[in-house]
Amino acid sequence: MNEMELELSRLFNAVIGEPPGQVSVHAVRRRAARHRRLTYVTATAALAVAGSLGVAFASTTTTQHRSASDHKTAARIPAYYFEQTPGNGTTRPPVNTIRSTATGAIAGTFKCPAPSPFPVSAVAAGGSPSSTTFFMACSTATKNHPHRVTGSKIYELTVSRSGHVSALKLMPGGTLAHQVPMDLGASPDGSELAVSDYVSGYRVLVINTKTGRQAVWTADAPGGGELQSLSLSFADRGRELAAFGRVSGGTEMVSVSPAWQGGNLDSGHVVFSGYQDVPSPVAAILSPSGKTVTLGGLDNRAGSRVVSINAVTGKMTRVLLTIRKGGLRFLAEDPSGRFILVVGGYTHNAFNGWIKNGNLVPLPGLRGLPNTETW
Amino acid sequence: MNGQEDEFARFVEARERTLQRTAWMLTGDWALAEDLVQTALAKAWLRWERITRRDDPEIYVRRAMLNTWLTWRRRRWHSEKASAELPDSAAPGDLAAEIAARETVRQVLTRLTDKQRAVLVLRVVDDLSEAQVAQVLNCAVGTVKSTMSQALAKLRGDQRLVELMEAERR
Repeated sequence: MNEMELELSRLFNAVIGEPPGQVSVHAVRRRAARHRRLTYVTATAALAVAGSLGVAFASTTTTQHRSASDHKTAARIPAYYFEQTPGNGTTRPPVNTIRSTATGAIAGTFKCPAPSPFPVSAVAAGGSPSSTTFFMACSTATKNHPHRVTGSKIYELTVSRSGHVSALKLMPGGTLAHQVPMDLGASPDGSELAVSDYVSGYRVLVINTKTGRQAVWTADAPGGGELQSLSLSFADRGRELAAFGRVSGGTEMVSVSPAWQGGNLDSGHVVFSGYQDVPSPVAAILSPSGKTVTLGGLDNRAGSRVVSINAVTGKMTRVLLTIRKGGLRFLAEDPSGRFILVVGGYTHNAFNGWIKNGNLVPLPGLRGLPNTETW
Repeated sequence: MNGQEDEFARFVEARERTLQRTAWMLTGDWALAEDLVQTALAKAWLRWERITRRDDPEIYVRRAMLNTWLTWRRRRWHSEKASAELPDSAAPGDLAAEIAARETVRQVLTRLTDKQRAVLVLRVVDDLSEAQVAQVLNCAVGTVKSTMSQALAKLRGDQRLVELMEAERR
């Protein structure tokens, strides 16, 4: 592409924004079935009544206009999200809540069952259109020495679309001795969970949330760096694990597949490394389809930027959000990969919401910075 | 679900947003863009087995989308223009400026012929190579180059677009 084409590409991608609706595979199949039926009807009518213009007209007009029912299967914004409000460090402990996205109303409040004063250290969500499963890592400690961490446990709870919150239960394979997870990444359907920790080196466990089976991924690199975010996606080659983090000289995302196999992360495919449009990246998430990366971080103008990157070419496809209210803290994608939640700024000038058509729609819950948040 | 259905579902999930953005560049309206993508994908689904065996699904769907759009353009109702959709909730940032920018791009694109617009969108928004654009449009690579050159010449002379590009650069 020449200079003008590149500039146009940047402009168009910035201007177009996000499609407001989703084209679901069910809607496409319904339309195809209708098209097939109408073709049959048209052909039959044409045979039976020569020159039957009415049927032909009906077949063209019906296929062009979307029926209202097509919208029913489109991905919907998550009805509930997990939020951990910060405590004051002494008398008021952090509170974990499940809140309604629409109203901010609290559907459930819970605390880590393990005897430890430490709050949830990491959280992830996966699920289906009818319910979302939240996974939370809680540190464990002995009763006599509550501040001495002895390990961690991963708990799960499910929230239905109608707001029913299940009891908190220990996830199969969720007892991790002497480890404090730094990040969690759930597969879109919630059947697998990636957990990163540091035990004399970076390590990522991929745990089957139904059977508890674990696969271990080690990392020689990032040399002197750190793992920042994990994601599990459906890719053509099977379940794909993507790890994003700092390496010597910058940041990069590495993906490995199949995720349940285990091995060394350094042998993985480098999805992208460094990114000039987001000079200080904070988090990067591979979409459920494995085709797109959402990258967020600080830009050069004391603001934050979230961009979309083609996972195949490593090139930026569009800017999802630019906000001039301080640095991005974290971002999360819902299990459909369609709705992106961003949190950042400062305590008295925080931004906390989700991206819609290039703008941030504030979440109605906490006025300030949460410790952690996901949906 | 059999393998074909799985593969098609994965294709739709992975590509629908990109296709919708391409469709918006052609139609200038999100509702029509969604309709156009659904129509093209429905056509592809009816021939999916053959497409995956003989053709590249990406190319096929884009070709179906462009042909459908051109058919719509030839019909009389294409003259109907939907107005810009207003946001349904308050949001920070200069929303008016963003809507104005989108509207400007939409208006600038109407200055191009259908073919110029199709080439520009495939090349610049979809990032297809000249050879791939030629494959989608079923024409020679030379035709793609000359059409692109004509489109860029028209756009270069548009002051509104030049101003938008300068603003984006800043």
